[in-house]
Amino acid sequence: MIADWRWPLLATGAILAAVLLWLSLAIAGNTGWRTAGLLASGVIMGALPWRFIALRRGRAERLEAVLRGIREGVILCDEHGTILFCNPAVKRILGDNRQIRPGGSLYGVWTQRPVEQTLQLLRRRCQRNPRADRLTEFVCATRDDGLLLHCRMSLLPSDSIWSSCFLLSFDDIGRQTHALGRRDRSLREAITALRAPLASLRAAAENVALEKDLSDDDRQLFEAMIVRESRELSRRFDYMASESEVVIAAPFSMADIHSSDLLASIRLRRGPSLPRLMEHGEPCWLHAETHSLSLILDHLLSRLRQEHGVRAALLQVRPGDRRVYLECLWRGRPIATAVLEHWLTEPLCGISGSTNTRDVLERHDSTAWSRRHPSYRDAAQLTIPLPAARHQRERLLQAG
Amino acid sequence: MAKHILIVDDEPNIVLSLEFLMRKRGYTVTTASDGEEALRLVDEHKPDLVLLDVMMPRMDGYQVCEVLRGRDDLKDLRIIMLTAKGRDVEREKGLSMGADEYITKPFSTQEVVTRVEQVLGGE
Repeated sequence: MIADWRWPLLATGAILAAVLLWLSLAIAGNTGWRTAGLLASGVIMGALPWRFIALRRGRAERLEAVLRGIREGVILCDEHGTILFCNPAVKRILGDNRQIRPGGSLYGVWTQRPVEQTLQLLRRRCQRNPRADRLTEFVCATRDDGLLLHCRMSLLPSDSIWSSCFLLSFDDIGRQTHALGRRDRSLREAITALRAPLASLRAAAENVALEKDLSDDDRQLFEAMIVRESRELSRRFDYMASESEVVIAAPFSMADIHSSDLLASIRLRRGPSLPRLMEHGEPCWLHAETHSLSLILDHLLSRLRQEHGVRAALLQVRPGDRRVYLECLWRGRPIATAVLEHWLTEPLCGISGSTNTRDVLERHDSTAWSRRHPSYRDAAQLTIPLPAARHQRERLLQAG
Repeated sequence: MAKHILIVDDEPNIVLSLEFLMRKRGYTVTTASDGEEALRLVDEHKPDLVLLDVMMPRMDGYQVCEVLRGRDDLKDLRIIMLTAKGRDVEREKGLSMGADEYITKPFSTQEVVTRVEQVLGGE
């Protein structure tokens, strides 16, 4: 069987042969031979390219038939984001009005930065270790309406003619993420709201039951409190029961990322709004919504530079039992709690809805704090605990 | 001389129970219902320990803790945070911000008493 790449050469050769044949017959001046030559060259010119195109089309149709059954959108792009192929699910997920078609640009719809960053991270990973996983996941938003997409990007085999291309498969998780976020927040608020009356109830009940020499006045006071707090607890429970629907535990779109890749992606796009960043310590794996996390780090670091006057900072990751502690250290004073709280509640650009840094951190079961460095009194730090990747935890366990 | 405890919480019922509990143990007790009042009462009474709620209007417990820990004249002051924020990471944050102990609501009264005695006894 002739390899795919030889067909264009054969077709070009055949076209040249046909043209030469027609020219030689034309020069010979014989009308019959000239007509026959014209027909022959036409057949050769027509047949070979069409054979080539038919073969490619046949393969494309078979590929499309396979991809048609896939629920996720699949797009094949070259290194510049030009679309070479897309399956029908793309239209279903993104809608008819999007300019997603072969020859168009991916970045007409996708936000360019997260795609390019992810591609860069993936290439770095494969350069570092050719046997590394050539696939990675991330979440990003569409440019016009912020539709949140869970994307899987994979590099094609390095020995294929498509080696500079990448494959992007995706699904809409915007609504799901939004609903999960709302449910997550409601559940957390409900649990927090129950703790206060429960604390008062328990303290009052224990005072009545356990304290000796309780005066009649004190007893009446705590008994009345028990009744009052029980009613409050019932009221809050009823509210919680009516508000909460069935909680389905579904994970947010998190993926493993190597801290060096994350920090490199921040450092590489460092603009004048960020402090000069240096990395310190051993890198490790963490589990996060990569794009959201890089956005919040961008946000916090730019605030650190612009509002706190930090011109240079050290970034390090410190592995803990279940978490990885991302720490930013600088010479100067810590960020005041009220100021940090304000930064955490500012809306983020480049992400759908009214998401802020706190929302993203809470999805990572995290928060942030700033304090004076425990060893260097003239230095301060910002700490963000993040979930460790599973194999990071396994490595720590194996290390004992 | 009896040790002095400042109880800071915006929930009056829990303040009442904790105040009763601490007085029964022989402590002198002052109460505040928000962070700003707490800072004023710290200056006024120089307590040995603050039982500090985290979620309060105007100025939360972390902010109060930050102000208190920033003052050299209060380095002997002990702080126990009481909070409805039950996540582990919040506990880590409280201790990193300078609290000596962190108790999650709802708590057993005996647990609070034990922690108070441990923290004051450890001076």
